Amino acid sequence: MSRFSFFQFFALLKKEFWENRILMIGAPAVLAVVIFVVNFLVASQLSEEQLGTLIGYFSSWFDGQNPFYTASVIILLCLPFLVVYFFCSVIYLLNALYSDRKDMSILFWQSMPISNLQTVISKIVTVVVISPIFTVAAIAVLYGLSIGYLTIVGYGLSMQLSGLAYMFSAVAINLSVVYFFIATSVLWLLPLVGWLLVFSAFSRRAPMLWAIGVYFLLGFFEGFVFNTRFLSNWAQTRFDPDNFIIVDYSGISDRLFSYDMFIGLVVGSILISGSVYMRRYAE
Amino acid sequence: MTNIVEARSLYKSFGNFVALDNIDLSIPQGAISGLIGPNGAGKTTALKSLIGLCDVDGDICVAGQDPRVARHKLMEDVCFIADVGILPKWLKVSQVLDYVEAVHPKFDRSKAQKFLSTTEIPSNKRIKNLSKGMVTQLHLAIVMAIEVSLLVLDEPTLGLDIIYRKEFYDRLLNDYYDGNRTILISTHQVEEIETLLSHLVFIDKGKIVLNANMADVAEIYAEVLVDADKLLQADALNPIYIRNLLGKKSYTFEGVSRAVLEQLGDVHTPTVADLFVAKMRGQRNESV
Repeated sequence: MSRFSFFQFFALLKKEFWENRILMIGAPAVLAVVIFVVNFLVASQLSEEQLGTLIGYFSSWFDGQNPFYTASVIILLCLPFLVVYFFCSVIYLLNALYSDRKDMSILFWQSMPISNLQTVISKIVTVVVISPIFTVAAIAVLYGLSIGYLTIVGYGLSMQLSGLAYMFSAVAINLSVVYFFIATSVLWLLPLVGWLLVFSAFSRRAPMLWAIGVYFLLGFFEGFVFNTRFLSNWAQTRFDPDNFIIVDYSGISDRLFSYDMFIGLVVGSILISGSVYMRRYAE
Repeated sequence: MTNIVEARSLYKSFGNFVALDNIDLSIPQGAISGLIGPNGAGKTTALKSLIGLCDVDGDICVAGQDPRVARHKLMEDVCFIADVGILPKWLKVSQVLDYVEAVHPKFDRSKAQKFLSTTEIPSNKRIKNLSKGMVTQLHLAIVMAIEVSLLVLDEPTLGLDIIYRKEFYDRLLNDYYDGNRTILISTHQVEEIETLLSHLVFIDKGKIVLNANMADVAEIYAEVLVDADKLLQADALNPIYIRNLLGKKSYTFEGVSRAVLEQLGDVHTPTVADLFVAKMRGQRNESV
């Protein structure tokens, strides 16, 4: 690396943002709007009494709770966002090294003094570090507005609303947990990231079909020849909710420095190196 | 004069198809060099291998570097416009400039903007909303604002109308070329660039058919409109190509002295297009 600077790398990240703003901002924003509108419509169907009961329920649940101990509830409330983030990231990674080959603009990118390794790293940093910011921002706006709405309605019903203040601080404080949960989850799934990038760099068309097809073919081959299920078992344990869902900082740091994480990072890095190599003479 | 491109025994095949058949290629620094050949001759493969975009066997040195080792480093000294190398459609014009300014150490944004101000390209439009001619103008504006020693253009004006094509080459010659920079242009539309060129490379079926500077070409090759009574004499001098022209026969010779040829009829230097046809046809007749 001769003179690769922060300034250059920032430009690569900006480029990813310009290209994928629909996946990065559009998807969580639309989800937030949909959830808000649905909740609003449901709320408008309820009688004043029912609404009051609901607000009272929320309020009393959060009332007096230490916001640091409510992360699991907040993460549960964020689940739709996490699912959308997962699928958007899969699409992003499958297109990352594919779409510019398809429209031939790769010849322009390759004519710039940026190496393939730098390009691929910018895409991984995007999915681990940058994109989650927008998802967390959408969550913040949604819950900010929702709690604001409940507060206004509750105030109109002359209710005691200190619980909502607790709920607000729970959301605000736990947004960082949500952010680090997403970031470490992507690292935890780095083998999947690498797998998707390999087929993004390799396929001439339909990278998703390749990524899924080769996985099942390998699993089938393993079962047929060795009569084992190592590959599918290993993939399943990565997605096992017991391993996957984490609700506090100590859980996040435990996972980050675990042996399983290390193995995943190694496997992921090998696959990612493969995608960098394939990109060298990509057409 | 030193050579900015020096390649030996380049070989590349795609399955059974040999795209580059052990070619040697040298381009002197400061030359405006035309890489000319029919479709499928190996032009794009040759250019791509010079800038590290194609895995190729052989020895290559471009601007003092092996392009296969570190393409991104080479790209600080070499610019490239591909035949179909369209700019990314989803970028805005201003974003392309932002990006290149950030990643390319030798890009001068004010130069690019000065160039763009002479065009009708709006800076807030996305590239997908520009015409094909405008996209090429934009790409040229970027490339001309980058201070590099070698500019590689692969069929840069393909699919453009005549006004854009003429303007493209006028700009290149008047606003960009300074005598030190080297330009390597591939095309199969010879007529358009023939007045520009100082160096000529013909390629056909993966082989180099001609590699010479224009001054040498004028010395080595001659076209003679042979008088009707001298045809036998002309045949005896081994012409590389004969064609009918206005009821007369026009012979193309290689390496025959002008003094001898002048006795046969009207002698002149063939145009690049005519020489190209003569070499291609001659080559094919030999191989039959």
